[in-house]
Amino acid sequence: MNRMIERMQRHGIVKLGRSGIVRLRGSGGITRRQFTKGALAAGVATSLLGGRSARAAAEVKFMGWQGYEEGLATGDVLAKNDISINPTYMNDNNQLIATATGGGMGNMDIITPDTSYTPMMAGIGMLEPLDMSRVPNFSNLFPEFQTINGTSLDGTQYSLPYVWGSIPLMYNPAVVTETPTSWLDLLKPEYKGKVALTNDVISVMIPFAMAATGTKTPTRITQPELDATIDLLIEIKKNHARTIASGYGELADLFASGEVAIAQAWEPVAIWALDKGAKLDWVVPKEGTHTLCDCLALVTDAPDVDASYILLNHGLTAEAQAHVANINNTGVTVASAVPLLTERARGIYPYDDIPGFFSKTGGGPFPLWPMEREGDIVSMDDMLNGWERFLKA
Amino acid sequence: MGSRIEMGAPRAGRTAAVRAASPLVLLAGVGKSYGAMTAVEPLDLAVGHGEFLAILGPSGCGKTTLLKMIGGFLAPSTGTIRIGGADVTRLGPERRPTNMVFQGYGLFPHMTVAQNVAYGLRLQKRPAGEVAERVAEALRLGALEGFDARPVTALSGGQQQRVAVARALVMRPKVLLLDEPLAALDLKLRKAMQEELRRIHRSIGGTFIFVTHDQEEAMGLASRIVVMERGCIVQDGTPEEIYAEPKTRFVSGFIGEANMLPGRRERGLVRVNGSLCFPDPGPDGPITLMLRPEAARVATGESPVVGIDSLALRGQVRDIVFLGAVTRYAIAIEGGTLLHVTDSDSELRRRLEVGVPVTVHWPQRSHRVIAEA
Amino acid sequence: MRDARSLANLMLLPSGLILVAFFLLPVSYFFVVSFWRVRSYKLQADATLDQYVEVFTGYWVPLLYTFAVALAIALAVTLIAFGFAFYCRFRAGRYGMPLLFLALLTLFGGYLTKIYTWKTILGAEGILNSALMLTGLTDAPITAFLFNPVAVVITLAHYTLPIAILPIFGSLRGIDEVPLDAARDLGAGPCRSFRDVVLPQAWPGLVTAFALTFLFAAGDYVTPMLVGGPNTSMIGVFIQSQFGHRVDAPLGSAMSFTVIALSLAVILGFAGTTRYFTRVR
Ligand SMILES: Nc1ncnc2c1ncn2[C@@H]1O[C@H](COP(=O)(O)OP(=O)(O)O)[C@@H](O)[C@H]1O
Ligand SMILES: [Mg+2]
Repeated sequence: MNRMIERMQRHGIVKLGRSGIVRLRGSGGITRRQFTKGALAAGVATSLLGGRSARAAAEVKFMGWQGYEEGLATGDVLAKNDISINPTYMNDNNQLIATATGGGMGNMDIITPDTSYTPMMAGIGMLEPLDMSRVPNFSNLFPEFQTINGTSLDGTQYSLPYVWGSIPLMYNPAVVTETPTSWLDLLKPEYKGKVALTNDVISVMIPFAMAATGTKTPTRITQPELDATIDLLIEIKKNHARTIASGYGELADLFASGEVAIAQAWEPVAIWALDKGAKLDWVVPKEGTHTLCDCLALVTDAPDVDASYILLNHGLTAEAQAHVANINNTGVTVASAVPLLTERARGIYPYDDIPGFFSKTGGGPFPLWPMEREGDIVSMDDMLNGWERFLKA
Repeated sequence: MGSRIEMGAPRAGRTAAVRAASPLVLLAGVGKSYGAMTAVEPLDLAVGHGEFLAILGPSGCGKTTLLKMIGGFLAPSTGTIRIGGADVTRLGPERRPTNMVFQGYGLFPHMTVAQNVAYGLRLQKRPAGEVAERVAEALRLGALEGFDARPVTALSGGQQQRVAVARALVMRPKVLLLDEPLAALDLKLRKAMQEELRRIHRSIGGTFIFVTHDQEEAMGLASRIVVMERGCIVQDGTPEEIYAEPKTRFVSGFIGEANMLPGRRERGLVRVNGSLCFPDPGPDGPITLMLRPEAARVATGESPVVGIDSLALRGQVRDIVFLGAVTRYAIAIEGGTLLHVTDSDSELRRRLEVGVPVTVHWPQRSHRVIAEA
Repeated sequence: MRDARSLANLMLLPSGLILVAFFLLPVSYFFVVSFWRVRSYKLQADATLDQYVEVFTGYWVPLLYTFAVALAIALAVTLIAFGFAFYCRFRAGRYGMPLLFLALLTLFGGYLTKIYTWKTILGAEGILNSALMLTGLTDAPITAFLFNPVAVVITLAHYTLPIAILPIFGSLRGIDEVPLDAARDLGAGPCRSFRDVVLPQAWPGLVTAFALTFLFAAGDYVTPMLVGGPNTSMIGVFIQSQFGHRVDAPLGSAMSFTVIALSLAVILGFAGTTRYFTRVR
């Protein structure tokens, strides 16, 4: 939902005059560098990437977060292999499922699901099992990403970690002078009216379940735990929050305009806010948080398997990884890409201690809530019911 | 007759009214200008009880402006307006004893015929019985019985016109103002409505002031005509007076058809078109000879017989138009000027054809010599 | 004549088909679905009113809130739009059309642009607060301007205003000025002639403007999300979430049809009330 809005927001911003701007995840952030790159991705995506489409032997149909396809097109990989990319942009992992199951299979090649959705997608048969012999660059991945939860089902690899990040507690040190340590610091009276949450369900429910109940398995919780989580969220919303940001782009604006001083956020927000003149810091609170990892995957019955494998493998080169991270302020999953990062992109993520970071957040990306209740454990639907209670309150 | 609709003033004979010591409507020095543009020059005008007065003039001469000042829709730039002796110059239309039939009627399109007619009475908070009675009365007077519940938008032009009259008359105004009441109707309907208006005026005997650019309409309806030109009153009199003795070239041209021949007067002798010369006392200077088409005769042959006091011009037939009762001949006289002559003689028509040489002649008393300013 | 009519019917066919295919069929489908239910993510045909019960028991707060906000916006906007259109038509003389054109120009620039514009005006570091602090009227930014229902009303009102001006101006333009003079001639003061002549004829435009504004406001949820603050959840948020995350088309459809029916009731209520007050007496 929030992403749909973010997409509209993006259009709105573009109309405000900063044309040619690309936002990753539709979240509304901008870097100066993206300005030129933006033209490339926004309008010229087809003409440049697919510039040879008339002659290209293969056209790979890509559906994913805007900006991710650029990594697949770095260097001379397209020219050398006579491939073009035809990108469509997604707003939501659910949209991938809807598109693929609604007649998309057979017409889609590469998509970018996250780790929590990969098992579900593989389970309903919309993902092709990957022939790992055709992805030799898989060994370039940091060990943590080679073994990360959620990219395989029953021992078969279905997706390749491509981009990562987390949901930290972000704050403006000019206002929040004491470094926060817990999500519950949002309740401190001195921040009343300067707090924000985003409308990103999963990225809110996971950290606040951990904060409200102390659980280490925030997507495996009981009804009382869910209720406690929602009660905490309602308390924040009612008595502390300035607003619920519709997306991360808006959150960056709220920080920059001084409306908000502390919020549940995503790393690139700090970069976008910096570009607007607000210097922000962020921490992983002691309770842990949500980490996200977006992957590359091949859709069942992909029309262009050979070309797709070339691009999947290319996506795990240092060159491709660094490019995506530099323009989108996201994390790279390949160690050899780190030296190619701009100083700023490198400074965002703890590349020297990824295992330590994951253990601090609670063990890396969590699986989704179960589709059906499992004993005491609430289902995805129960969680969404709780979220609606939060929205309605 | 038999109508109980009556206007707010007693009946009075026409001539008596004009000469009445206290006229019903009295305009003194009333003028209107819009910035540098003067729509109505300051003028005086008295309208007596029971008169049916036409304000006649070409489009844009200030008729509507004058009427709207009488009705209170426009404040005059100068002068005062009295109605029934009271100074109403500063009063709005809702507070004047006048009612208006507007150019284009101005009916309330969202109301029925009866609602339109009843509107003014309702505003006066008259008892429902009285309203119903007077509305029925007005509708009868306008020959609109049975149309009560019709939306006015479903009426023909003539019916709408009658609703507008009924809506104004039901208020029993001291003066009824009508702005080009028949202009939007076709010829046949116009004639019928003239009849209708005359009948209404006769039956209630009120004071009507109406504005028109149609001289025939003015002649047909009014007991008195005021001719306006460029914001000024140029002549004021009965229709007969104005037709027979137009004071200016403009009036003569405007009232009925007329041939205009330019000439000069020197020491009591008028010369027109080179060849024509006759005595006519008056000051020296340029003149216009005005000759009505029906006043002249056409004669054929080398030496036609013309009356002793007649004037004659030679010419050639250029055009013949059969108009029914009469035939109109266009005759080019020496110098090329066209004279129009109408004649009802069918025998003459048989004899004439385009190109035939003729003589146009007329008795001296039937033309008018108008001195140019 | 028969042929001409059948030809005319034939020419209406494409638009008729489009209407059926892209409007009537989907709407009927969702109407039917609103009586179905969902079991373990699968749609099951049924004939139950449960969804509607759920709408009124589970969602009456956002429903009420939505309608209150939409009503406030629609009433305010219709009133302001009427004032503006009236001024353009009867008072502004030859500046009327340029003025109207200027108002319509604000239709350009898009929906989100306007939301962001209002955010920059009403925000803590916004134009309004800067002005207040510059003039010394306040010494700290007033946070109460933004992120509350009033901000929602202001923003949506600004967006819908030109949309509301158009139909009202359309109906006012059709009003002849002569009947206004006639009303005065028959004894009506300015207020009476306004009520008896202008209002009844402007009524269709007023209702259209109200309906457009109300429907737009009742269906919107983006504006409340962006400027309404934490406690502003319009029903649209929940409808969207039923079709999105929840995969609960029956409940989403039931919510949609409830909103449609209630909106219709409000619009008819407005039309009836205003008709009563502008009726010919
Ligand atoms: N409001 C106005 N502003 C400027 N000039 C006007 C206005 N109303 C009328 N006039 C001018 O005054 C003159 C007389 O107008 P009007 O009384 O309507 O003429 P009529 O009714 O004889 O056709 C016209 O030249 C007209 O253009
Ligand atoms: Mg006129």
